[in-house]
Amino acid sequence: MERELIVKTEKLGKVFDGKTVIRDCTMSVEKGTIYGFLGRNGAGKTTVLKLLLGLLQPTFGEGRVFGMDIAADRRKILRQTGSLIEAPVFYEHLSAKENLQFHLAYMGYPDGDIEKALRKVKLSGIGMQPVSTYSLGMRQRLAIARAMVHDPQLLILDEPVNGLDPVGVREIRELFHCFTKEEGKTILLSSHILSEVEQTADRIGVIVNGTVVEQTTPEIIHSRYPSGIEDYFIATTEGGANT
Amino acid sequence: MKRLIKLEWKRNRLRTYHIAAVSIFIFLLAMLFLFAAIPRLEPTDTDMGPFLTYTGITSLYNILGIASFAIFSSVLAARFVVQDFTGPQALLLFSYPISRSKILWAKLLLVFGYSVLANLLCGTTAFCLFFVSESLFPLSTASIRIEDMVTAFLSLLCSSIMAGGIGMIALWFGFRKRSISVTIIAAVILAVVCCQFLGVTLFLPYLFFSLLVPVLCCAFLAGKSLFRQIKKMEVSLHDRTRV
Repeated sequence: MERELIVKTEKLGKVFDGKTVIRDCTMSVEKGTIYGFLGRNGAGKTTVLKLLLGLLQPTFGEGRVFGMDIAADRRKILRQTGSLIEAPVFYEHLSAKENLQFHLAYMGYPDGDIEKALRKVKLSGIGMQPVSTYSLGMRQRLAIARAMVHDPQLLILDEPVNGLDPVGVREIRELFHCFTKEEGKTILLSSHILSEVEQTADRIGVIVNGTVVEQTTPEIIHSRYPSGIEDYFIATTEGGANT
Repeated sequence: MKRLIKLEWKRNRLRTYHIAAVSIFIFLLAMLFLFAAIPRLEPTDTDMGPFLTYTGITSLYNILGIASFAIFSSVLAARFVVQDFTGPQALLLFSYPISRSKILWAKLLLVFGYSVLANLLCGTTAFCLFFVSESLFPLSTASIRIEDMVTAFLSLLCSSIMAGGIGMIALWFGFRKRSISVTIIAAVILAVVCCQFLGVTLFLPYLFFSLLVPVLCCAFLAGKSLFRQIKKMEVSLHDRTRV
């Protein structure tokens, strides 16, 4: 049975000051799955995620999230989406709880369960210390809690496990699996950590020089590259770069 | 809108600005008494025109008030608008399902409202203290007339609005250059020009009001331009916003 598509882009592109940064982004993310977005530095991963969130306007092509146009229905999409793009930004002088309270107020979702969100990322009992005193890992956990606290249907996460120790990475992976498999929600994440994407994602997309060159599954990668995802990634990105 | 203004008010630390407003008040109050005392301090000086009438003294106060609160307003505008829309916070701000225009409206209303109210409150308190003190222990040789007081308070109202307007115009410059310092420098230059003009009109208090119209027209145009810029703004690479 074919699954509902939560994210669908067709030849999506972005030009900055005459330079084409995204040439052809054609991808689809099914409901209830984790989509891992891979690419080298500067390949365009973050730009694609920003396009989907309406932080950038597409120059050409089409993008749909929940069946809505990313350019025209930005606010409707954002209401149902949680995001983490680049280094997380907070109200530094406020505590984790206060940050989430403000987030919920801005999202127009006052009934969000802050304690539950903090518990999920193992930050419960953090107290009222300001976010400015948090370590990189704590900030990353809080950013993930913020992305989830308003109960979104889709998470768009740029390098979500940055700064986390191996235990933290594992906890967040389990959290993501719970989010998709038990709650039926969807995650689109980008990462540099190949092994992490391999273990987390149900489907993998590779972007090379602004073009999504391949969408596949970890199983297919394993069958083609028994030595591991690293060989696949290098072969794909170098092959894609030459195309 | 009310909700957004409340959120802006609550999530920003305003204590520093309250302290700044109180400091300006103390400085302006001291200057007000000094202006009244100058003819006594320099009895031989024949060029004491502005210091010999209460209208002259309060007009001088209002000119200083415009300069001080225009800069105060620009600092607020730089913090609330320039920093939030052009720094890393923009990423967070634009991720909320709220119209960008509404966010800007809330910020502008807060900045303008806070600056005008602070100016009015400081001026009203200073004038009340001054006129009560003058009626009991006069420093000035002039006699207090009701029309002097009415003119003082009307001029105060106009100067408060004018200072807020100058802050808005300065914001336009600062926003274009994405710079807090440009915002403040623009406010200093504009305040100096306006105060220079107002210095000439010291003995014609109603001319004082005539400057208000062009300042407010420019502030309106600056505001309109800001809304246009915000609407097409993109959150680009490394959290830098671009238009």
